[in-house]
Amino acid sequence: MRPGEPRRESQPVQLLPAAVVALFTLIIAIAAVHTPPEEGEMGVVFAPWTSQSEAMGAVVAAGGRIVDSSRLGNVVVAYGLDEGFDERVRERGAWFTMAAIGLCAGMGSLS
Amino acid sequence: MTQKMNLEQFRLQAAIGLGAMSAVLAAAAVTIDITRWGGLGLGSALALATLAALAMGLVQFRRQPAFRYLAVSVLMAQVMAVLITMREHPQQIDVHMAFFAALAMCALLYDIKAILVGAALVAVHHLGLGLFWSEMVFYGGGGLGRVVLHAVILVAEALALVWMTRNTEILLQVANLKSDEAEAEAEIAHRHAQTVKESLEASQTRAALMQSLQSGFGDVVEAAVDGDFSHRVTADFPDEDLNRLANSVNLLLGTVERGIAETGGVLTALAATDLTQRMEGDYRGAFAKLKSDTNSVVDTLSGLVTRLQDTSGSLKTATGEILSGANDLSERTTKQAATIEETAASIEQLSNAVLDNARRAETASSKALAVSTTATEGGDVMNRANAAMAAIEASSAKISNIIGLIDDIAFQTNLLALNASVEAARAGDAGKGFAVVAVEVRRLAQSAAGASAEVKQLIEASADEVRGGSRLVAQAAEKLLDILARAQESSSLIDSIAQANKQQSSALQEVTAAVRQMDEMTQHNAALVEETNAAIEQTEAQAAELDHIVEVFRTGAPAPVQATPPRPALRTVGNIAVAPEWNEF
Repeated sequence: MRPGEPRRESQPVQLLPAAVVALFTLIIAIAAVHTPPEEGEMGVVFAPWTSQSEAMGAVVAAGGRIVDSSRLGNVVVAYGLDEGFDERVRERGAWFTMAAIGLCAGMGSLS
Repeated sequence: MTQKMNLEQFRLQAAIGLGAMSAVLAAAAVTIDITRWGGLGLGSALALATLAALAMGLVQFRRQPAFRYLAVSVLMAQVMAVLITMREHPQQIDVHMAFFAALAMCALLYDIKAILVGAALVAVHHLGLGLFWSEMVFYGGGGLGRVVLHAVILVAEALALVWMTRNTEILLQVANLKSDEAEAEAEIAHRHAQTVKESLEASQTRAALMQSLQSGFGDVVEAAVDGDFSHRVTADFPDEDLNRLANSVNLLLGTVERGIAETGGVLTALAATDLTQRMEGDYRGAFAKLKSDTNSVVDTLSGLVTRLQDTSGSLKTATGEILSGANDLSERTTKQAATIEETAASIEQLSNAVLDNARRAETASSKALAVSTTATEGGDVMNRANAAMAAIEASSAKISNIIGLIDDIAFQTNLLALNASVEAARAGDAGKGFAVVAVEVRRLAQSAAGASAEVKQLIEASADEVRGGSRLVAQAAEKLLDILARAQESSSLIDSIAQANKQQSSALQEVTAAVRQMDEMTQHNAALVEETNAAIEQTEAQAAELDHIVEVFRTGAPAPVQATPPRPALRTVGNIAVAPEWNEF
C-alpha cells in the first residue's frame, strides 16, 4: 500500500450504502411505475375475498367504465372519467388503484 | 500540486464530481416535476433523498471506497429520478440513455469495482423497467431480443471501461516504479552533491595554502610562462622547504635561461645563413641533449649545404655540356632534314621519269600491236594472192589443154583438107572448086595450128611466170609471218617493260612516302631538340639560381670551383637551328 491510501474495510461493508440507495431507488421506481393516472385506464384493487361482480359493480357505481379483467379476480381494469374516480371507488370498497400493468394488466377477456 | 496528488485524491475528486453531477440531475428532476406535474413527486423524492444520502456519506466516510460506490449508486438514482419525472413524455426514452453516460462517468473513479457496481445498477434498472415499464426503456414495446441487445451494449461498455481502468492502473504502477527509480537516482545525486561539496571545501583549504606560494612564485612563473627567464624568486618563506624549493627554482631558471639564450644565438646565426656557430656551454640532461641536437642540426645542415654547393656546380657543368650536345644534335638534325628534303625531291623527279617511260612503253606496245595486226592482215593477203596464182596456173593448164585440142583439131582438119584435096584432084574439074576450098581449109587449119602453137607457147610462158610469182608470194608470206612473230615478240617485251616501269613507279612512290615520313620524323626530332634546348636552358638557369641560393651560406669550407660556362645555345626557328653568327648575315 502506498502512502496516502486509507485503510480498507471489508468489501461487503463498503458496498452497503450503495446497496441501500439502489434498493431505495428500485422501490421508488417500482412505485412510480405503478402509480395510476388521475384519469384514464387503471387497475382497481379490491380485497381478495371480493368477487369479480362486486368489484365491477363498485367501479360502475363510482362512475368508471369497465375495460377488462386481470389475472387476479379481485383486480378490475377500469377507465376513470375524471380525477375523482380514484376517491369514489375507494369509498366503495377498493383498496387502491394502480397502473394497469403487470398483474393488473388486462387479459382481453371482455373485449 | 498535481504531482503531489495520489490515486485516492483523484478518486475523491471524481466522487465529488459525480456528486455534483447528481446534484445537477436532482435539480433537473425537481424542476421537471414542478413544471410537468405541479409539485414534487416520486422522482423529486428519490432525487433529494439519495442526494442527501450522498451528502451524509461525504461527511462521514468520503475517504473510504464506500463513498465512491455510494456516489455511483446515487448518480444512477438521479438518472432514474429524471426518468420518473419524464414519464409519459416523448423524450423519456432519450433520457434513458443517460444511464450509459452515467456509467461512463464512473470510469473517472479509477476503480473497477465502482464500474461494476454502476453496470450492475444499470442492469437491474433495465431489468426491472423492462419487465414492469417497458415503454420507458424500449420505444414501441420490449422483448427478449431488445433486452439482450441492451445487455450486450451495456456489457461492452462496462468491459471497455474496466479495460481502460485496468490499463490506467498498470500505467500508474509503471509511473510509480519510475517515480521510485527517480527518487533513488535523486538520492544518489544528493550523495554525489555532498561529496562534491566536501571536495570543494578541501579545495578551498588547499587554495589558501597555494595563495601563499602564489605570492612568492607567481611573478616568476608568469614571467617564465611569457618567455622571460630573467626573474628570480626573492621572497623569504617561513618554511625552509619552500626556501629550498625557491633556490631550486632559481637554479632551474638560470639553467633554462642560459641554455635557451645559447640555443637562440645559434638559431639566430643559422637564420643569418651563418653555419659556423655552435653551442659551447656545459649542460646536463635535457639541455645537454638540446646542445647535442642543436650542434648536430647545424653540422648536418652545414654538410648538406656544402654538398648542395658542390652538386650545384657539377649540375651547372653537366647542364652546359648537355646544352652543347643538344645544340650539335640540333644542327645535325637540321642538316639531315635538308638532305632528306633534297632526296625526296630527287626521288620525286625519278618517279616522274619512270612514269613517263611507262607511258611511252605503253604507247610503243600499242603501236607494236598495230604492226602485228597489219602483218597478220598482210599474211592473209599473201595467202589469197597465192591462191589466185594457183588458180591462174590451173587455168593456164586448162588453156594449154584446150590449145592442144585445137592443135589436134587443126591437124585433123589439115589431114581432112589434104584428103579432100586428093579426092578433089581425083574428081577433076568437078572437084576444082572443092579443091580450092580444101586448100583454103588446109591453110586455115595450118594457120590455126600455127596460132595455137604460139598461144601454147605464150600460155606455157605465162604459166612459168605464174609459178615464179607464186613462189615469190609464198616467200613474201613467210617473211610476213616472220615479221608478225617478231612484232608480237616485240609487243610482249614492250608490255613487260611497261609493267616493270609501273612497278618501279609504285616502288618509287613508297620510297617517296618513306622519305616524307623520315622528313616528318626529322622535323619532329628537331622540335624535340628545340624543347630539350629550352628545358636545358631552364635547368641551367635553375642550377645557377640554386648555386646563388647555396652560396649565401657560410660553412667554413673552401668555396667550390666555378664551372666552365657552357657554349651558348643555338637559337631555333621552327625546326631549324640557327647559329648565333648567322644573325650577322
